[in-house]
Amino acid sequence: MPFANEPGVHIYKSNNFSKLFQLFLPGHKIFLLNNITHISTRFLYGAIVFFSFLTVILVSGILITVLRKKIMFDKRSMIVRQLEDWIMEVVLENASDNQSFFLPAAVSLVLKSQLAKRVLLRKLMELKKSLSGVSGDNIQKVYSQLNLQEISLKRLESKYWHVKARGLQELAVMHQDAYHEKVFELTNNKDTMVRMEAQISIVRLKGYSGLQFFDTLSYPLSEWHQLNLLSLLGHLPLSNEDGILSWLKSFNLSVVQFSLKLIGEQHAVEFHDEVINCLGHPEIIVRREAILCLGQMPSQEAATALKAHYLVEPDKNLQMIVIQILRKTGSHLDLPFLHILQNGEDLDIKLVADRSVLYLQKINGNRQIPVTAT
Amino acid sequence: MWKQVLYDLFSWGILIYSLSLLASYIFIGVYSIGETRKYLRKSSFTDYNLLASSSYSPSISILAPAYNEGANIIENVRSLLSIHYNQLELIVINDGSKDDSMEKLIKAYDLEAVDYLYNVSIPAREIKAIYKSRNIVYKKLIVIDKVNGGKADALNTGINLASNQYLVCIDVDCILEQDALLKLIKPFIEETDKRVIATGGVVRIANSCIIQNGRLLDVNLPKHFLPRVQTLEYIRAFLLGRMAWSRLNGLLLISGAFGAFDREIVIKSGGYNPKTVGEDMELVVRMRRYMEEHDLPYKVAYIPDPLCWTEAPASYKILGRQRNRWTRGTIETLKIHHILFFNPRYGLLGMLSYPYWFFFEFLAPLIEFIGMVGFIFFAFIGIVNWSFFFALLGFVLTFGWLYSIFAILMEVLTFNQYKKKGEVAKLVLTAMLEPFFFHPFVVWSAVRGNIDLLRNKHSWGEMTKQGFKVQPGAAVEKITTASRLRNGLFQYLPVATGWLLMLVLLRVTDFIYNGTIHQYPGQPAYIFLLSMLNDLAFFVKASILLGLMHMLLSLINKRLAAGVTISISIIITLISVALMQYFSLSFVPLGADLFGYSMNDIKQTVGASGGINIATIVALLTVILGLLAIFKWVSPRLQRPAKWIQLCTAAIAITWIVIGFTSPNKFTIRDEYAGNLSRNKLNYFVAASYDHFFPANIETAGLLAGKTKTFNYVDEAKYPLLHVDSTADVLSPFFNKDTSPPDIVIMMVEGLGRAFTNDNAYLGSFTPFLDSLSRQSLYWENFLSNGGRTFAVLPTLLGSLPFGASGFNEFGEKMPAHLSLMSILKTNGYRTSFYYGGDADFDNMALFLQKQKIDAINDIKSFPADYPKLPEHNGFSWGYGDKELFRHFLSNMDAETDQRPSLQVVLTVATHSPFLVNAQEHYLGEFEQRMNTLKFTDLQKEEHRKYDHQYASILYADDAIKSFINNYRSKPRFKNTIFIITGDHRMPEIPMSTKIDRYHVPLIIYSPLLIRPAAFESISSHSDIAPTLLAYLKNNFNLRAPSTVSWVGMGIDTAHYFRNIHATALKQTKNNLIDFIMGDYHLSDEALFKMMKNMDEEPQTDPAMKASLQAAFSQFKQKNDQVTKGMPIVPDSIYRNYYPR
Repeated sequence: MPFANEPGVHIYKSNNFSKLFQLFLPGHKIFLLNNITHISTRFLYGAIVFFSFLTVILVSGILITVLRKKIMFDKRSMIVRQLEDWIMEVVLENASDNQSFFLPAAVSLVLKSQLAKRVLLRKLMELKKSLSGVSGDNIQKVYSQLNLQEISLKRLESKYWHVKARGLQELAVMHQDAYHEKVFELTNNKDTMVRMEAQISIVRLKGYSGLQFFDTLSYPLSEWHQLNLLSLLGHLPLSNEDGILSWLKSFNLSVVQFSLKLIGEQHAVEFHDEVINCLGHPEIIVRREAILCLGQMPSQEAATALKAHYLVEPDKNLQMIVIQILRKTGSHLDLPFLHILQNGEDLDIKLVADRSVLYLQKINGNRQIPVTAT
Repeated sequence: MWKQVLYDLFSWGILIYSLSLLASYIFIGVYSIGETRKYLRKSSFTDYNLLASSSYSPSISILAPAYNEGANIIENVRSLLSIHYNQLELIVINDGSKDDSMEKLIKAYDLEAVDYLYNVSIPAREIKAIYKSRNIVYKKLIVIDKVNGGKADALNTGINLASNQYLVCIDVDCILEQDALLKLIKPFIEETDKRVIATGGVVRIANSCIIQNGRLLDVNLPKHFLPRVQTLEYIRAFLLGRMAWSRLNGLLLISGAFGAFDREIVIKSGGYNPKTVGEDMELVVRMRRYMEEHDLPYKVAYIPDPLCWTEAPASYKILGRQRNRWTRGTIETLKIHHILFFNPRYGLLGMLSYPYWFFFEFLAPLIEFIGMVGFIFFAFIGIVNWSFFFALLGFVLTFGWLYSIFAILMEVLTFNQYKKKGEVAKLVLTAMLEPFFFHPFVVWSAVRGNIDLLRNKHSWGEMTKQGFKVQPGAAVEKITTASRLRNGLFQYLPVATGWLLMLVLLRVTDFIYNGTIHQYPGQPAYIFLLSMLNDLAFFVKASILLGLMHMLLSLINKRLAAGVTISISIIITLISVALMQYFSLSFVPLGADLFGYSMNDIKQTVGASGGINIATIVALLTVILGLLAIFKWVSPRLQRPAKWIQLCTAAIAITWIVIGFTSPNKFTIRDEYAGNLSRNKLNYFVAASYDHFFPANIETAGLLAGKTKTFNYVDEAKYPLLHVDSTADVLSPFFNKDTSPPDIVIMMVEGLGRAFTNDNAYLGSFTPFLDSLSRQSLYWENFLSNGGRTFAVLPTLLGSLPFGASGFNEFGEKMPAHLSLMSILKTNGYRTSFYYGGDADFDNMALFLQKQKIDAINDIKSFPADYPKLPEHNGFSWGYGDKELFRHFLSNMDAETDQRPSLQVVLTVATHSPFLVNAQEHYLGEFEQRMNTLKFTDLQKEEHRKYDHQYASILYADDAIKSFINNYRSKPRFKNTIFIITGDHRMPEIPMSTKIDRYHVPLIIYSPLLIRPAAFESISSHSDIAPTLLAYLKNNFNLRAPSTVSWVGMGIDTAHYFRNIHATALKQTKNNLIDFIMGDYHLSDEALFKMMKNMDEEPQTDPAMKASLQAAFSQFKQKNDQVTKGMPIVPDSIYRNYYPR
């Protein structure tokens, strides 16, 4: 019986391959794979050419970068050399409040270039950080006189966070209060670094009143951030008692922590009771800071509160801190308490207690206790 | 096939590994950019001095272990004390220095021993005394004098005494940048949602820098190559590698020279591990593991700032020790924390960081080393693809250069430490030279590190620096690896010599023994000399391998090497003795036929021959003791051979090598006994066994792609197809020889295509039984039918006949005189029959068979009435299904009384349109189940369901064959039966993928007579079967068959790898002869295709090749036409001589 209707040949498998995969099939025009070495020499030669080309590009990049850096370095150095005498004169001048500084023609000429202005701005910033008093004020005046705030303000508009942050720093260091609103706007910026720098800047400009952002702060302040704020506020007497009291009750633990640090830094004994209350805070971070804060405000009351807290403190590390802080707040009256701890079973507690006893004994009577290596 | 699988696994494995490695480098390079850029930008407006003066800065304990640092310790401690930081203590730990470090410190800093309270949180060695200064200026300084215990132990002591929150562990001879400490500590107080447990900074190379009073005054690129290349390496590792890992939070390593740690976590993790030389890495991994196990969010940070400057090794010797130690440290750490490996419990640490270090830091040097050794070996034996090698080498080199240049660019863009004229250019040049003068050494050091670790070496080694001395040293390595290898060789020489002496003695004994109990060969001196040469050749080959093994083992242990080598020599000698004994009994050397016997057979044979008796035991003991005595006698005399002995040995070795590799196989000996006597029996056994398990691919001169075998035509003008029968007997090596000629059952399965049977069937395999049967059989996966329809199968398979005009059967009564497998076997006493479920008159099959003088045609007319037929379709049924067909066959077989050997040909019919079988629903269900077993996707199932009847019929046919074979197994004649199973052509009703697909069928030769199964990828066709079977039968059973034949086929190819040595025409339909294959090419209707391994095809445009195929095809067509037009196929004389009467 004959077989009718010879079926045609169908390319059954071609739908299964993507065009890219076909590059790897032997016989394909580009032929990246062969069935013996898996990768064809053609592919390797192509890769060699590509890598070599990239290498040449990168070497060119190196040369250009080195050259550019050298040129920029030379230019900056030259600008600094051209300006440094004049800057020193400005710094040392005993200028009055409204006095403008004389701008020599040569300096004026140099400052026509934006680069020179930026170099000058950087130099002024360096000097301002290390100078205060009349010299510091003079630097601020030069900054305003030469309208360098335009550069700082332009930096605030940059899309790069680090440029924004630098602009903020410049405005704050140069005490440009007129622009505090622009600075304040950025205290809520989506970028963490910009936000942090804006907060530091606003505090630098406004002091304690700059801390109004605490009221709405929803994220924690890092310890580094707190350190920056403390360095600005540490020497300023606490002016906003209500503020401190509300911060001590903040839901943001880092705000509470900072407030305690601030109290400690200021040795603000008027907040003694509030600090002692913080010993009972449910969070370790707050209790820890409260203990350290009491160490900054030594008193028998503080020592009593710490001893009482020790007995209820569940965290061993905090207990050890309490014992350490008793060296600052305590006296010979606390020795019996420490002796009890010395006889306890926990070696770490014993060690700290030993050291505290030794310390208190030293300051109270110079008696030494033998080494106890456990 | 498994060799190919192994090769593919290995080569693909290396390829995937290499690509992963390159990809990871690229990722690291690119990923590090973001982190470095972020740090630089942040740093540009950060006032680090805040940290120095604030009372709220974290408290730090600097731990500086020191050992024999007397030369510089005062200045170094002074530079550390000058660090401006509010809450700081500096703890210097003198780790049992043997110099005057302590005395100098006590004097310089006015130290006094004090009572000091501390807890031993981490076990450490004894402290002798603790010192503090009387001078309040140095109130931050604590000096610990302790018993030597190593760097880790010293640091642990420091940790126990430290009282501050963070630890900074530093090498006392490191030079710190002014603000290094500030930058290092800042990350600890920057995070709000996770705890930073460790930070590290970049360590830079201080060689050639100007350093005064512990301060870095001027940075210079190292003048010498070795420290300079390490500068580049450090830039790559720190600026790219560690920054990328830090960004991922997957960093496993903080440099031991300068790093900061959270003290609480360090203590909870257990401190530094003094039992490893990689204590820095091990601590970080352990700290991370602690945090993961306690589900505490954490980070290990990294600062790209150059914070610390240290001196790098300036000699290869010291560098080697350093890298050796780093490798051992890495391996020890990986070993200790092996639980992390791909353990999702540990998050990124277990799933990425650890595996990366394992595969790309630990394994990479080993793989590279193996690659180098392998390359040298392959080059030596001449199988390197040089063009590929150079291309690959170029690829690797250019990628390496690119990566280094990228690192240099990053350095220039960021910290730009090397600003002086020409320094960057020198760095670029160093990058170019690194792959040749530095990298191989680093790889070798890493390999040695692995070896040393295996040898349980735990020491640091002496790390001598220019002007610095660091760390306790254990045994100093004075013996190089090269000298060890040389010593190993000298140790091996006496062993080899002793073994050679024994072999000579054995040969002499064997010669005399056989000569005595049997006879001496003709030309005894010549045969004896030849014997000696054979033995020497074997000795050389074995000696090289044994010698290499001995030398490598001697790196681990000399005694171990000697013991193993001597033991192997003894075993080899004993086996040789046993094989010599076998020859003396059987006159033939023992070959691979040993593996055809079961253990019981062997025991029986040995027992029958006398077995293991007292004499044998005494002989064996004599051999063993004799060998040992020789070793003992020879060894001392050759322990330190004189120069002349070394030269002689070298000369003899070279001579032997030349002789050994120019094997005396060229000396042919006509006398079989003499020839076998002269063989080295062990060499013969090993070679035969190798060929048995790894059959050699048949290499015949001229059999390259495009070249094929050709016939030696006798008289083309008169008999166009007549040629000398040169068909090789390729089947014999696979079969056990029975005494009587085997029954042959040829099963032609209608439409059985390779597309749906066995492994890699592109439609999926629907023949589970045939699949399993093929694994016990000789199996050709790339077999071809000569016809695209059933019309061609009988004449081509049974007769290897041409097609004529419309198929050979269409000649009808005018069929030209011819011989076939069937007729020749009939002449030789075979009983022949044909089984078919349909009408054998179809396609003139009955006529053809009658021309073969067949004994019985059992077609539809012969079936018992009670057998069910196939279901009707439109009133038509093909006849009887396959199950009934086989049942009929077996029933006849049971009734058969004729004991002659038989050739029985079965042609099935069920797998034919309309594909209706009995129990259709059952097989449709089987079809569904089979698709599930094959794990088809829904789309695939949908596609296949379009041909569900076809697939169901295939499953039915497979089931029928299964039942047939299983039933046949119980028949007495089964043991001496050869089954040949193939498809008559591929089922055209399921769409085909290529032009060749219609012919692509399997061939299975199954038999209990088979010694072992084998699979073949080479191409052959139906027309090759008859010549091959006849050659086999002729060779083994003295079958009468003509020596000049007219076969179209030239015999089945048993090459395991894919190739085609045939030039074969394929007739698509009765009226279409348009397909021709030759070499790797297929000509189909004037279109040229190249055939691939899986019979896939790619169109080709190669005019020369096409012309070649067209010419060969024309030649075939011409001969075919000549037969069609009446030219005889065989001469009368041959026909009458071999045609059945």
